[in-house]
Amino acid sequence: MTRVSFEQHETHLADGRRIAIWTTAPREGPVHPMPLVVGAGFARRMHHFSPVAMWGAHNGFFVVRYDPVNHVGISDGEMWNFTLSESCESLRAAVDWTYERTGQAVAVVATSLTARMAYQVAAETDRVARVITAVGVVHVQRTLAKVFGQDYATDPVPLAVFEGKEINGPRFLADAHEKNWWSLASTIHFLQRARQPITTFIGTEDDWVDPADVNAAFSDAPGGPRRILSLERAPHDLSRDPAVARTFFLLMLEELLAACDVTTKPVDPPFEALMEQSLVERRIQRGDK
Amino acid sequence: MTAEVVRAVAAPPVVERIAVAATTDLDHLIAGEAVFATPLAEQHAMRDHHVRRTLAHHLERCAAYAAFAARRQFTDLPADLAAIPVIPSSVFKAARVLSVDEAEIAKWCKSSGTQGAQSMIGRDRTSLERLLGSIRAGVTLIQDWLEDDLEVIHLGPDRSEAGDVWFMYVMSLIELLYPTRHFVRGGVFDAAGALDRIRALAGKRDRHVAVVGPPFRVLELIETIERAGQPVPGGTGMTVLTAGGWKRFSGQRIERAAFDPRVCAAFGLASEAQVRDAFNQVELNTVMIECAAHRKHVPPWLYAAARDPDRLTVLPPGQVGVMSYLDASATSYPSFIVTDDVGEVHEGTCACGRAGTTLQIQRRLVSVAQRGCALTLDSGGKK
Repeated sequence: MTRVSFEQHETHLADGRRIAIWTTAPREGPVHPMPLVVGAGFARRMHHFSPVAMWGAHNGFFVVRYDPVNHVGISDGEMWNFTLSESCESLRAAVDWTYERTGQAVAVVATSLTARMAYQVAAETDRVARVITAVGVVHVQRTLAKVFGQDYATDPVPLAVFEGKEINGPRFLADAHEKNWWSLASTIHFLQRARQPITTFIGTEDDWVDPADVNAAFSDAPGGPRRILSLERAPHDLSRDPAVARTFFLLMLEELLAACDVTTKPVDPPFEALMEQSLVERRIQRGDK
Repeated sequence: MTAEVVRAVAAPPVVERIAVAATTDLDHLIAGEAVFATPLAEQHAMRDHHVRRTLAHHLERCAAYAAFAARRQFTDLPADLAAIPVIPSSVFKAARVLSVDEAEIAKWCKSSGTQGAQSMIGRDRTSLERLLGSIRAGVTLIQDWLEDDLEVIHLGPDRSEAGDVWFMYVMSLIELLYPTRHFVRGGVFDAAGALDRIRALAGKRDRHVAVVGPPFRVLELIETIERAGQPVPGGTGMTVLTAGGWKRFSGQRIERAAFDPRVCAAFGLASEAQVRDAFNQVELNTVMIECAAHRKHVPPWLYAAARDPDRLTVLPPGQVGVMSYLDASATSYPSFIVTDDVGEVHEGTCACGRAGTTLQIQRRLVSVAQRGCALTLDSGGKK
């Protein structure tokens, strides 16, 4: 039924830790010269982004997903040891793996907290040609304070719990302070240095990302072309409303296709192919296959 | 694409700002976190609005439904919901009734059709996504579990084996929401395997366990447990969710009043509130799930009414009649149906504390051989 190929690969951080990678690509026909690297949001696994991969592949893109180390998913490490810096290293490793495999600069598609890492990686390397983020976090301290109901930057805790997953407080906080992850200013710093086109989708019903922060981050002497698309009545979890998710996919693909000088409109993958792929991936994540 | 892109405020040179209408009122409602938490009057207002909009869509796009409405001399708009023509669900056995081009159909869905003709319902992407949304919303009546909080033991086949048979297909979709293991393979129910897995999960107690299947399969599993002589230590960490109808293949009715205590005893459940039933039929695009008070809550995009069986007039809440539905969530076909089920509708505050419309299905109107979706499973073998 499906017209895409799905493969499992892996890469490693410099210290040897394994990062699981999944690729999804058109089974036949031309592949656009801009692979997509999809960075899942915090506490989300590769399989949650199966629709992004399927929409991308059905529109001619080679799509790469990965699970960060010390995170949920099938890469090395546990969520307990999660840090923002290791999440960033994981994205960087996925970008490098994709660039080395294809010889092409990538478009990073990142959601939520991983958007912050995407802005930083884009500022650091020309292996990133373009960035598209959804409900992207720009002010880590403010967003985490909203998520947890407490500002851990100023009021530290031994452990934080997110969706039932425990995170080592001192380890996370030490990294966040030391590597300057907290502030809006740190995000602006990287957005000013990143020359690539960057588009962000914000949700007007997103309780965790303040549109004013996004506007401030994107408007302060931007390093390259910037777009802010405001998805009306979209929550932080875009997948919750399939109509919102589909709108995001199609607008994202419109931009990516235009960047590849393709004038055709994006198409939807067949519903049943989406279901089939989603179940295959869930079973892999669960260890059934 | 359907989203309307509106160029907004002129921006500084390199920052472009665009506002996008990303969803519809109805999709926003179905995806919302408070589907069953709004006051009754608000639910009615939303329901009336969405059903009327969907009525206009079907009158415009479905020639068969428009002709049916014309024959019923239905012209009043905006319509009193009780006056909107309802199609006998058996019509879908004889004709493919569509409100979209056939090319837009993502899945043809078949009723179980244990004997005789089968209903064929064409669903487009929007209808299927909204159906999934109704399951997600309905599950919150049990509990709003996160993905990793729950493991499902499904006493049926996976999606590939379920094929186009509606009831089995719908039940298999729970795997899209929660980690799920299926225990019917090649038409054979692996009761021992299901029980082993349930016992293993009950022992770990690191997540909630949902045993999901048609009542007759649950009874088969109970018989396996009873033969072993050792109840499952389910406690408060397990829910048994049934769907698919309350008859065995033999035609013998499974009595709910006796079923729940037996489930509780076999699975060691702390309360009968942990036994829930779900209702759907292939012509209906919404799945309704029971609350703790064992009432099936009707979401605010669906008008459910019991009707006088002879004149099809809508009966007041609490009176028993043939069940009918105006389901605004289906775009590809008019899910404006009168069914073969006998039941009653209630309005007000449920014993669970939620305001809204609830329904209870009592029995089938006719006693011919069409005995419900669950029976296609009941005819399978055992392991």
